[in-house]
Amino acid sequence: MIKRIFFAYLLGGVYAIYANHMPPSFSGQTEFNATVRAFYLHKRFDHNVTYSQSTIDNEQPSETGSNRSEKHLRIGTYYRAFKYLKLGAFYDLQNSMLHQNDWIRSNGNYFWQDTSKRFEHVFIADVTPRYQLSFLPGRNWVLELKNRFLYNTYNQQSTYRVRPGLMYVFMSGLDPILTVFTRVELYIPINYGSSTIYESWYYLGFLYNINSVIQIGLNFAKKYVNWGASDNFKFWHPTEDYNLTNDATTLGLMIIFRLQNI
Amino acid sequence: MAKEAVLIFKTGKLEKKVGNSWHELKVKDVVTNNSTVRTKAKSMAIFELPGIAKIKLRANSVLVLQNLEKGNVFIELKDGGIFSKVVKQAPNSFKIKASSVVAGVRGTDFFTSYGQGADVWLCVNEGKVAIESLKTKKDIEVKAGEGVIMPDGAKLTKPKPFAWTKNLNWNMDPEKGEVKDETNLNSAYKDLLDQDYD
Repeated sequence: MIKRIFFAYLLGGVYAIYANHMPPSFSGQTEFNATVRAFYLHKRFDHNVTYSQSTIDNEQPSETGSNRSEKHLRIGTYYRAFKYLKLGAFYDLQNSMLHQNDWIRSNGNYFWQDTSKRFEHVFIADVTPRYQLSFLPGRNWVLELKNRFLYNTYNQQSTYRVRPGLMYVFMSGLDPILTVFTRVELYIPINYGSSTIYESWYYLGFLYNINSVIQIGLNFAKKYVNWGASDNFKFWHPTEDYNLTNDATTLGLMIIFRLQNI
Repeated sequence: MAKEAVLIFKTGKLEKKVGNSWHELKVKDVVTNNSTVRTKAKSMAIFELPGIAKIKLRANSVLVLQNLEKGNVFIELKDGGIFSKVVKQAPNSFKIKASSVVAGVRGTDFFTSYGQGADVWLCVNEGKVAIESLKTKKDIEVKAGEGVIMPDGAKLTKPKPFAWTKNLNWNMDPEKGEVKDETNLNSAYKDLLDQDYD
């Protein structure tokens, strides 16, 4: 009898250690993003630099217990290959990013590890065709299909991002004053993840031209992220798996500077 | 002065409407009131209204010369673009209508054209032009070096200098050099496909 009680207690203890070995999903959080971007248009090239920071309610349980602040510093350029096609190449330095393999076990506990001191290097190739739908009322409709191929040297992950978008430009005479856009962005993992779509974003945004050099913008987005089982989890639980979806609403503020030397 | 316009120079093909058909014109041919003329692709033409004005048609232009009587000239631009060099005379004695815009001139040198869609452009090289919008009934004055646009039937913009107008070829004398004008009006427009956002 005592042995049975002891054995039951031991099993309970083991269960307590492993009960939270899968990350919980969460929904309904709000994130904030601020972006500063500068373009320099020179003939067929549109050089640009971007700094972006997002405040994210950290996925729990986390090693730090506090919010995560994702940061991006991106430089690169677009080249106008044809009237309807732009090609781009960028380098993106990232900090405090979270990937599904950041769900780890340490000292018997599972949590999302602290990535605040981790810098990642991502290389991006961009192919963006655009077409003006002049036949629609108002004339200033632009349809865009952005295609991005990303390679992260930190974890050797390759991602294909596709983003169809539609925008309308309100003009005062010949000068644009307000751009309204809507976009859907899908992250398709090429060599990782357990879902066809790793992440998806649904945007509605506005960009107001203060003058020919400065634009300020606001955008609203709904974001969904699909986490598959981390490698660390699979190591400890080879017969188990999980797949969870987190969602959040993002409010973004943007300021764009446009310089040109044509 | 006779109510006529004389063709003094042309390149390519210039035609006059006779009934339902088009007849090609040659240099020194005369057109009278209510004549409709047109230039074809890669063509241009210069007419002289004796004692009144010279007008130069760009390629793919259609012009209705409704009234050529001195003091009361009225021309309607149906398509394309024209340069007008008007001898100084009484106000509003020379008028050009394009879509719902009427430009009334004194002695002046100006350019009127259709741009993208139903946009109407006007810019002034010398003198002043008074423009009336038939839709809004408002008048504005455009001075030398300035231009206006009426985008797609909307109201006229405020007069201001436009960089692209510096490329216009105002010359109407073949003996002084090239008279053809091939300025691309698309360069006046913001290229929405060249705007990157991220």
